[in-house]
Amino acid sequence: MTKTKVLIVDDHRVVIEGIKSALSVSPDLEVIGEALNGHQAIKKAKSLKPDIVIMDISMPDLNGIDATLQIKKLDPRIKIIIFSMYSNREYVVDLFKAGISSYVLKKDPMSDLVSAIKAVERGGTYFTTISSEILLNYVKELDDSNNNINNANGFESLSLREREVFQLLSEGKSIKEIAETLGISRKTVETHKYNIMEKLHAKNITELTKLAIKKGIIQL
Amino acid sequence: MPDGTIWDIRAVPLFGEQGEVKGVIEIALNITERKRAEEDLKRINEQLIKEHRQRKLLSKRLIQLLEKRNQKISMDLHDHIGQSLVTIKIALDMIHGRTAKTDNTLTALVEKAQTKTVQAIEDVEKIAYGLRPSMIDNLGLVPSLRDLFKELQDHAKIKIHFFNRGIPKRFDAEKELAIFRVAQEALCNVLKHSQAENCFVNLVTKGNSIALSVEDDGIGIKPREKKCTPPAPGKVPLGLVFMQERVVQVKGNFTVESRVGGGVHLVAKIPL
Repeated sequence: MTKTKVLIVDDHRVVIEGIKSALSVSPDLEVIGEALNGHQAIKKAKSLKPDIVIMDISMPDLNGIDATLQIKKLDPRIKIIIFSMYSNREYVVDLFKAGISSYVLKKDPMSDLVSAIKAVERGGTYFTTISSEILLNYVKELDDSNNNINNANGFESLSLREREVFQLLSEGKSIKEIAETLGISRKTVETHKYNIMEKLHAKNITELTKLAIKKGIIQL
Repeated sequence: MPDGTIWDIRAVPLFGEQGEVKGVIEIALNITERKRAEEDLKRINEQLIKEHRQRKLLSKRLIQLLEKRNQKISMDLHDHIGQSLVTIKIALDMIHGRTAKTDNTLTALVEKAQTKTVQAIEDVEKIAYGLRPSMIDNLGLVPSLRDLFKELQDHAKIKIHFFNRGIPKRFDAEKELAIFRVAQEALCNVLKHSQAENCFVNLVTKGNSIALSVEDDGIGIKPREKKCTPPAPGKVPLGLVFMQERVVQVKGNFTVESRVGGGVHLVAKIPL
């Protein structure tokens, strides 16, 4: 039986040594190389052709996210397991989109990392509790926003004051009049106007007015 | 004049009946005092401008040093202590693997140690993040802000609506950090004082600048606090002053408005 070839990437030697000891109990795994940053990781992935890469996120020179993207481009068959301190949604989602097979936290039991390797070996994925939850929420949000895409048209994202300014603008009031009506400065009104047009993808007041009519905020 | 006095001497022509110049009236004013006062004023003014410039430079240096020190401590925490804790935990995990089937007392001890270690890892990361969020370096400003808002929302009764468009993934590091800090401070204030239910954050590019605006639907702020006047003895409302300073540092401008109906709207505009 051929051993599974593993490349360990982490900018801390102590962690690499720790992972190596933990993996030494599994006879079917072989650590074929180590890298201390993203650039080295890509180089070694190219030359050593590992089956699995255990990748840290925060590293000098090139971080784990960029290294993942490049290794996947190089050879999509190489499986990547993220092993990191960070459990933030931003990292998990970005890396998921980059094509990782597993996300394990450094504070999780080492048995999780071993299980992750076993699952990924067999062509599967392994996401521990926190990362699973994040990904489930992410998929749910994608679904929600797809359903809302026709209804919202950005209007729901307007703040209370933006809605007030939006209404007054579509009624044809000038910046000066709006400022006086709401008791705020002209500069603030202009800021609101700019943000409203950005949020609603409107290029001018006419388009804003059309949207207002569509939404039933003003009548013809 | 040789005696050191200064005189303003004017001559006014005297005209005769036919418009011919008949003579001259000379008016001499001793303006020595006036001149001295003018020179003193000019000197004091130049001194003030110089001091103002020095103070601005000092403020900028202090903020840079503070951020640099925070970054160093944050990295040291994460790199040294954090990773050592991870190594300890890995060893504990391996010990646990060996004692689990044979020695219950030892296993219980190891499990206690594992829990403590995980707690320590979490604490260290929390402190490191508080000092300097490394996500800005790894993912950029927008994801870092999203991450910040998510954390705040998870722990407080507020809904944060974040809209962004056209922000470059990375730009000047000092400006990225300034915007992050202003947003952080603004949200802190909203959570602490406003009793708001909603907070709207916009981050957009406007021509050559980036504009951050934070608007909440809370109780607003009193006029005195808006003007950033010196605080009452014992009280230090540094928030607004701090935000203004961070923005001015990177050549931006900062405005705050509180409306009669309630809520606060602040805008920071920073040139790219």
